[in-house]
Amino acid sequence: MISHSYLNLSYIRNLSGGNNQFVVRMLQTFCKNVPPGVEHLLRAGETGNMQELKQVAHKLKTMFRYVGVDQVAEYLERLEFRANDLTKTERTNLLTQIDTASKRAIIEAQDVILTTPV
Amino acid sequence: MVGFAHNITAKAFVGFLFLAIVFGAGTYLIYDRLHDLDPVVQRIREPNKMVKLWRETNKNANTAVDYMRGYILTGDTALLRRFEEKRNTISLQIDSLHLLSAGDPERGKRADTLSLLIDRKLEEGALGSSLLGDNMQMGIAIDNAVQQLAIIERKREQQQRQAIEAALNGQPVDTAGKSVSDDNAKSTFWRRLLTKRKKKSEDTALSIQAIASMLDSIIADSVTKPVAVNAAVQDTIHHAMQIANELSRAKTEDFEAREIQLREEILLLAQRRTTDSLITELGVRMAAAENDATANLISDASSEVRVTTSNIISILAVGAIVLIILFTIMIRTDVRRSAKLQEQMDNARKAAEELARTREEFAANMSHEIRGPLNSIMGISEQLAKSPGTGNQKLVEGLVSASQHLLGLINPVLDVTRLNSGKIEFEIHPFKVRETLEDVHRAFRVSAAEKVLGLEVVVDPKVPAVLLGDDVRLRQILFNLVGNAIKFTDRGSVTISCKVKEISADGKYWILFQVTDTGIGIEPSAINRIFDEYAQADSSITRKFGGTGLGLSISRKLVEQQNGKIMVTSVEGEGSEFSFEIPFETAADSQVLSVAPVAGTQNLRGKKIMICDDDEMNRMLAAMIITNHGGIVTECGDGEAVLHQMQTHTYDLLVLDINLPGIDGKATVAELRLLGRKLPVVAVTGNAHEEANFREAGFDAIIIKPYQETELMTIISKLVGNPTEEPIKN
Repeated sequence: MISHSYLNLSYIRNLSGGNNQFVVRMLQTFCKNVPPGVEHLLRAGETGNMQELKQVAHKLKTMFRYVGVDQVAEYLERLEFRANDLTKTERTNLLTQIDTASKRAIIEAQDVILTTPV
Repeated sequence: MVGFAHNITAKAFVGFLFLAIVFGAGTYLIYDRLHDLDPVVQRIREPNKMVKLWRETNKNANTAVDYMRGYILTGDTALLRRFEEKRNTISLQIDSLHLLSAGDPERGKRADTLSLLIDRKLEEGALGSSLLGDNMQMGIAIDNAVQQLAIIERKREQQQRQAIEAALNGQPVDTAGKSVSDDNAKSTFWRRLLTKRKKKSEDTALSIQAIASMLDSIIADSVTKPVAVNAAVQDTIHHAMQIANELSRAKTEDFEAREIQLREEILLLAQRRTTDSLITELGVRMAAAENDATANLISDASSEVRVTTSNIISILAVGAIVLIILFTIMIRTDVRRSAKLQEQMDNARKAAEELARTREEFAANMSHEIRGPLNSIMGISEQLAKSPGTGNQKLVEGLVSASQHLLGLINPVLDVTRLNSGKIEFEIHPFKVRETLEDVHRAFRVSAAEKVLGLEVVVDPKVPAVLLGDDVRLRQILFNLVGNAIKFTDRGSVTISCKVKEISADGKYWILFQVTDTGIGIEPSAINRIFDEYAQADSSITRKFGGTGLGLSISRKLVEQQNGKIMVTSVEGEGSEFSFEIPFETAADSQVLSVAPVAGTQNLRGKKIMICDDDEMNRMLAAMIITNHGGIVTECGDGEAVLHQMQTHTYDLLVLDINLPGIDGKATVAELRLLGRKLPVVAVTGNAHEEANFREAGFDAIIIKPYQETELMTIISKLVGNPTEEPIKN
């Protein structure tokens, strides 16, 4: 079991009331939806489509909050509300950090899925 | 700004004062100049001196002529003296006319002319009198002749008498055959005649006739007398004839003289008339000239006054205009400066408002951001607390306590931000006020017991069972006040009382809530700012008792935004009493919604709830919670699916994400409302700022992601009391 430096599953665990199956389902959904979402986000960033960038950031933000990756959620919120105020470099840096952190979070989520008894 | 306003006011006042002084001075000067017309007016009122002198001179000349005539007729020297006096007076008046004419050649000419005419009149008068005198002289000559005749007559009579006496034996005989009384009568006649002649020259002709008559008498007498006396008579007749001849000659002369005199008198009369008419004409001219002179004087004086007044008015007008311009410039300068300052102040105010808004946004965002991890902390803590045997139960309990405390600090900040921005909306619904007070009592019962304090709730029986209002906000106010009361009371008790203060005209019940404690009380100097934000009696309270200093401020705002008022009375060292009153309408007991217990119950059993969210994780979470409570969940990912489902199915509640692809949540609920669907809809959003206007969008409640199970269930439990709706019939 790897150390979970990104994920914080207290929220979904608390809501589930000890229902590991629900936790696993949530993480599976996270792993299924986040990669295409991040890819969509990066594409919108590259093309400069701010509206799409904000919309995708809004959706991804909640997913990362559920699994406790608040740093990424904060980056996404910054993109959602301040994308127009950021320079392209700042946006690129944020997208890079989100991409990296999301990949790490997915790895951790997959680890949790594999290690959680259902 | 106030200083500028005062400055402008002072300048305006001084400006008007100056203008008033200028106009006052102008009015006085004009009034003073009008006084210059007074002598002219006085002169107009008085009779003209020249004309007056002319009249008096003319009158005196007439009088002088009369005196002269009288003197000549009577020889009375007194009249002569009067004539001289009048002549002197006339001379003085002529001098006065010359004096009045000084500097005016025309007047001088008229005075000279009048002087000449008056002299001429006097001369003519004197001449006329002289002619009368001549007439009189002629009468005197006749008189002399008559006197001579009388002497002769008397001498003849004497001779005749002597002759008759001699002839008639010395016997005295009345020779004329008349009595003595007849002689006397004749003498009297002559004297009367003389007297008459002296009185009237016109009597002269009559006197001559008398003489002729007398002669005729004498002749007649001579015929009737005896022969003895014929010689004497003859002599007498001779004498009489001489006298008659003399008289006839005198009469002729007199007649001739009278003719000459008459012609002279006619001529003189004409001259006098001419002179009088000249004098009159001169007087008329003089009067006309004087009238013209007076008119010119009036014209000159009024012209002078008009010119002077015009000059004064012009000067004053210029002065007033200069003053107005000067003060207008000064005031305009001040107004500009004031406007500039106002603009600066507006900018500063806008900046401050912007800063406040930014601060509120920051506070809201921070609260939101902090609550996320805090929920995580609390979740971990609770999770750890559910996992016995870790050996760190006390640490976990401390973690839970710290988390709750932190949440207690954050929530007021978020509340006050919302209150200040008007984002707090009061949900009006029927509630049982006694249950609310019991909840408060239950919540603080343990805290009070820990401090060995009495905690009592007293509700007046007159308080209606069910009120119409926001019981959540009422509970929040009471929590703040009761929490403070317990916090600041070490011994004694805390009492919560509730009673009806009054029923207003519109039927509302003003309910008075009082929270009384026997605590430390409040310093009098601090009592006025106790309801201010971040205000506590002193900083030591924060250190000693903790808190944000927002509780009372939030309570005041919550009370005031419900049209109520909050008060405090306190005696330092004895305790405090916080009271507030809020108007409530009453409601029937049956209208109160029963709120089911939340956790671990099946109160949603059989309730059909639709969850619409494009995020699968969100749907999963909501579905998991609702299913756990017995609800029947239908999931969909967009607004179109919702509308489609609603056509064929009925639901008790819809949990709807606001930010949906395609038809978003607001449009979806709006469409539902247009279709007449009244089922309760709970908005779900990840953005706290969307909380403000959810009701306007047609939602019944809103919940911010990520939410706790209890939060969602509290909302759903309140809303699913509504009857299930019928599906839309197309």
